[in-house]
Amino acid sequence: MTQRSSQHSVPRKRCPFCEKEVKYIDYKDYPALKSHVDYFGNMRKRYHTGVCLRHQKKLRQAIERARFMGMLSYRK
Amino acid sequence: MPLSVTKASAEDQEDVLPENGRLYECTVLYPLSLSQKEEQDLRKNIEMFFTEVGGQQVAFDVWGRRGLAYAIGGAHEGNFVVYHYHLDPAHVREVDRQIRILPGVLRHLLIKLPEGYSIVRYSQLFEIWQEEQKTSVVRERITKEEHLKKRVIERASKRTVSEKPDRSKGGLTAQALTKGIEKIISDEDIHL
Repeated sequence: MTQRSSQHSVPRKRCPFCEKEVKYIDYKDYPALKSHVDYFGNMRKRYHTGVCLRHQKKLRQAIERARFMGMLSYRK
Repeated sequence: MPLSVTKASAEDQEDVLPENGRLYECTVLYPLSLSQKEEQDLRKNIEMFFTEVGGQQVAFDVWGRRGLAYAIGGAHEGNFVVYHYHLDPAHVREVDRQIRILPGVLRHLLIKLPEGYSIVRYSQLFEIWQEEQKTSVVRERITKEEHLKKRVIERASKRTVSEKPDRSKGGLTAQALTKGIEKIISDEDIHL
């Protein structure tokens, strides 16, 4: 079992924000936010993007602020 | 990805900002339909609210015409203006209330910025990003067109190759048939 699991182990995704040592995610930074929102305007889950929990929470706040200001859509 | 973020240079900000208060950011969205005079009055009013309370303007960024993700108050496009003020936290609510009441403002957001935040001008960054997007889109189009051209040429060449032998075969059989029939007809030995 151990051999099998080691053979099929998928490399864990790294948080793109942690790599750049991001401390604050700005809601005005449209290009940065856009990649974390899908076609329908929903937030991409961190399971798919690899974002850590700390940054996911900050990202959520930024996206919600951007939605309120009309920069991002709530729903397409 | 131009991140807003930043291992911030606290030393630089200390030079800019006075000791009292905190750094606040106010983003205001107003419709394009406003005339220049109305626009100027609106901006003056907003700046007045801050200055009355003793706020000091740190930065000011006009984004200009921007499309909105959804219609707000019937407007599909608007103007964004971002103010950075150094303000006493006790007066934030008051300023927020005054901006909310102000006619002509579609949306506004007054937020407290984290310590060590370095101000970024997103109006310029957004333009650069848009140009990059355009170039990438143009590149994609060119590559697609080239790919299509190649496919069309390949298909045309395949057709010519496949059609040639068919024509030759068909021509030969018809000729042979006519010749054979003529021979048979012209043959004197055979009595039909």
